[in-house]
Amino acid sequence: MIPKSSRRERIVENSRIFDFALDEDEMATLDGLDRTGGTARASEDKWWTPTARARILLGRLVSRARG
Amino acid sequence: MCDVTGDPAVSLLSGAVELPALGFGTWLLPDGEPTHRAVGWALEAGYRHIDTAQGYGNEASVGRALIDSGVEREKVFITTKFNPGARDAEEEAKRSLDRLGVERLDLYLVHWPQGGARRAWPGMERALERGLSRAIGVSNFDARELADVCAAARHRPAVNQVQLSPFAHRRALIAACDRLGVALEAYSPLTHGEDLEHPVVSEVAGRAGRTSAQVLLRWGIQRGSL
Repeated sequence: MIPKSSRRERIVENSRIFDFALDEDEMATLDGLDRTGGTARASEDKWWTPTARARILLGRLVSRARG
Repeated sequence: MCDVTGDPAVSLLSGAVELPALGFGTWLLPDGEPTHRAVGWALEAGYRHIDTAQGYGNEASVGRALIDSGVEREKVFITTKFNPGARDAEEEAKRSLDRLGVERLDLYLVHWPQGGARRAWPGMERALERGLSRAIGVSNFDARELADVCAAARHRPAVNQVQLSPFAHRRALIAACDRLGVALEAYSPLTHGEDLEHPVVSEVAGRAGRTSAQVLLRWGIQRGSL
């Protein structure tokens, strides 16, 4: 797992995960949050495809134009 | 400052390479001071696994942060990713080594399956055979694409790095990785922050006396993801 943060306190916080454990109920509760239906796909949004990249670029330009 | 000694590092390639389960991601960190500073803090906090990519444009700052940290190169696991818009993975690996200022990568991934699942793989295998990286793998490969590249591979991918969290559990993909002997690594385990305030996560976090981010990461550790 490769969490990213640009803030020092978050970087430290994200590393403190080896001194506690979630119990079975908590794990099962979190398992219930899946929105992918247990998919075999790697991504819902293939952001690397030319169409998706054009869409992302367009979105950025629009939001910049709106200031 | 913190303790990552409990990290259940996973062995790749029959134990030849140990990949720490917790790494520091650098996507969207701008080259220069923002990356240099953040990677420095991560190393100081005890992270021993840094993930970058040719497409992030920040490899040089990652490399400088590593040198400036004073942490020995051998103690840090470095991943970068081949930008498959480029022609040859081996050539690009050499450029990454120059930018990072290291002699060898620990893990080199095809960033996404551009031009088909197998297109970049021969260059990746050459990079491995010539010692440019200790292990090679893929990222953003569906189960079918992973099976496709494995079927034609002389060296199978050691890792498939995909977006994974309780909100994107991808059980069928995890099962396919298990069958093919490919370790699954999670990117965006914190959902870009979008679901950190989800009531269920907040409730579990409150009960555990932890933050939502720590709960999402701990879920990944206990589900065996890298």
